[in-house]
Amino acid sequence: MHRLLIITKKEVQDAIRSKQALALIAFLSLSILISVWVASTSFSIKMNEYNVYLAALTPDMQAQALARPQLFPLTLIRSGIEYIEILGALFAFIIGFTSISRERSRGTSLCLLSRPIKKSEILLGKTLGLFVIWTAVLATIYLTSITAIIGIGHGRLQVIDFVRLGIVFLFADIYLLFWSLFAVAVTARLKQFSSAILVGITSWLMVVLVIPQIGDTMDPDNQVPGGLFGSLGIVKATETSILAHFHIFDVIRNGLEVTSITKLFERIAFAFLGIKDKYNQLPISSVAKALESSLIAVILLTVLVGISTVLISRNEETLRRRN
Amino acid sequence: MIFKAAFKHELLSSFRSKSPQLVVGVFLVLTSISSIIGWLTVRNVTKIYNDIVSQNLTTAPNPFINVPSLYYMRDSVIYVVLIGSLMAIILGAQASLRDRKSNASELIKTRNVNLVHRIVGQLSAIASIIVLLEIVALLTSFILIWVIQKTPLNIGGIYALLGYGAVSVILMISIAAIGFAFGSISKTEESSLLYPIVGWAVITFTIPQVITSTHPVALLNPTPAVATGTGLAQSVINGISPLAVMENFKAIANAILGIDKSIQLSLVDLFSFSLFAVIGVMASVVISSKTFGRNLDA
Repeated sequence: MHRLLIITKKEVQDAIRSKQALALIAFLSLSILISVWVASTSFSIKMNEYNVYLAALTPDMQAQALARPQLFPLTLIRSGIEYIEILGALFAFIIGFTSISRERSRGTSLCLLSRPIKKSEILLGKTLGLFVIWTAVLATIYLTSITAIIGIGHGRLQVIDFVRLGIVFLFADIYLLFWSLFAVAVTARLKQFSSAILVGITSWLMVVLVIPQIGDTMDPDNQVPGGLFGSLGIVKATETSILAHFHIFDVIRNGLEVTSITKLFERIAFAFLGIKDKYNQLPISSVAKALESSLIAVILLTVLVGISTVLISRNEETLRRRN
Repeated sequence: MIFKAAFKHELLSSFRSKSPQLVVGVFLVLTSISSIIGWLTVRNVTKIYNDIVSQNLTTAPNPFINVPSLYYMRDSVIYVVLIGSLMAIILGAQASLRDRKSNASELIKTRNVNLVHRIVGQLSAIASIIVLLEIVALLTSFILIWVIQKTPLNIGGIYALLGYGAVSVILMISIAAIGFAFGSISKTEESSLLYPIVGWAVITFTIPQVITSTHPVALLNPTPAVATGTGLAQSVINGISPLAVMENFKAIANAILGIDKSIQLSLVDLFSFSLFAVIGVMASVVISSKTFGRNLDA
């Protein structure tokens, strides 16, 4: 077997032995199940309210009644996607961190370095291993999501929905790989494990929570419950023309948001799942075209952090040092 | 005597420790500038509103007319939940880990030391640091609001600011105490930070979602999301509501600051929050004293 694949296999075996992968699958599956249950119950309550409203109308008024609430099954996993965004990223950091800290604290990195294997191969093998772990975890979560949507949410999925969900989970894979690789780079670079954890947690806090939160705060439509424009009775077309007068503020807000890979992933996921109204029921090609820059940015950022990881590994000390 | 020595030693060690400085810096910067972010947004929304009015598209009043002076602090509440809590976990866990890493416990066990007094001394030192940080954050907010509004806060506003600071400090101290306990019992350094952080995430995102059906990310939004309910029995909701500590904190803070007039200070929220703080600190002292001297795994 190629040396690279041996390292990959060892990485996957370590994750299985430490029960990390199992814990991840259990936690993320549970979040998906809770999310679908909460969303479908919430929809049922909305539906019941609508039926009560409809029953209260006289037959001639029923023709002019408000539109019946519509269930788009893929939107049921919205909260699950948000858990992947927030907690998935944290777990990905932990997995990446453990991948290096385990070698250093056990002293196995010294053993690895004594073998005829390049340092970059060790890190590439680990990267591949992390990719395999995340792909396996997300494939399971993908199946759980489908089962939950059909079983708990009673949603009817079309073939195209499986593809949409597949695209979202493919990007979830890339997004989580980004965090694991970032953890590998930080842990390999820093002498102390505690420093690596603190740098990682602070970065996670800023990228996953704080930057998107500031972006949300700066969104004019997030200032009033129900939305500013909604509360002022402004229709969508007028809203767009009004916002065009405040282009600079929106550019700053958007510029801030796109510095966060979490926000980029969220945009991709919400668009393909139809959570964002303007993309709902659009063909996949149209959604992909509209989100071209976000798709490229997520891939590019992950590749860049991967390259940084390999470059850091060229310094032998990074793998040799003990905590 | 032991209390005083532990207090002084913990203060000294915490100020010397470089690791938590990054997260402390982020906390100070963001809680301090939250007023500016709030002000910029309100100013932009008011401009949008004026534009809408000039085009005769609405007759509704400006939603930001007569907003309270402390309205600009609303992001600060979120930052205490996000950054303040994590900073507290780190400060607490690092304090108990420091002893375990340096094997100071072996030395302490050879002396006649009252462990409870020592732990209370350490926790009091961490509490003092948190109080100091909160004072800096509040003082900066006070000055910024003064600059933004061109007039200082009135006495009611100052009391509200102090009340909010007190509640924030109570939250962070109790979380630091929990972090301290995890630092005492965890087998490894990383698990002492990661377990309480995962617990924090569940309390902040999952429990409120189960109770109100709100999406996790919406819980970070300064504007409360519309809760549609999850169909759970009221008795179940009542049972798990006290665990939604961050939501209780947000409700109390919003009521004190007068940000959302529709929110009344709920006695249940207040009681649950106080109970969490008391139990958190007491449990930490008991657990840490009982498990004192436990070795860290390699």
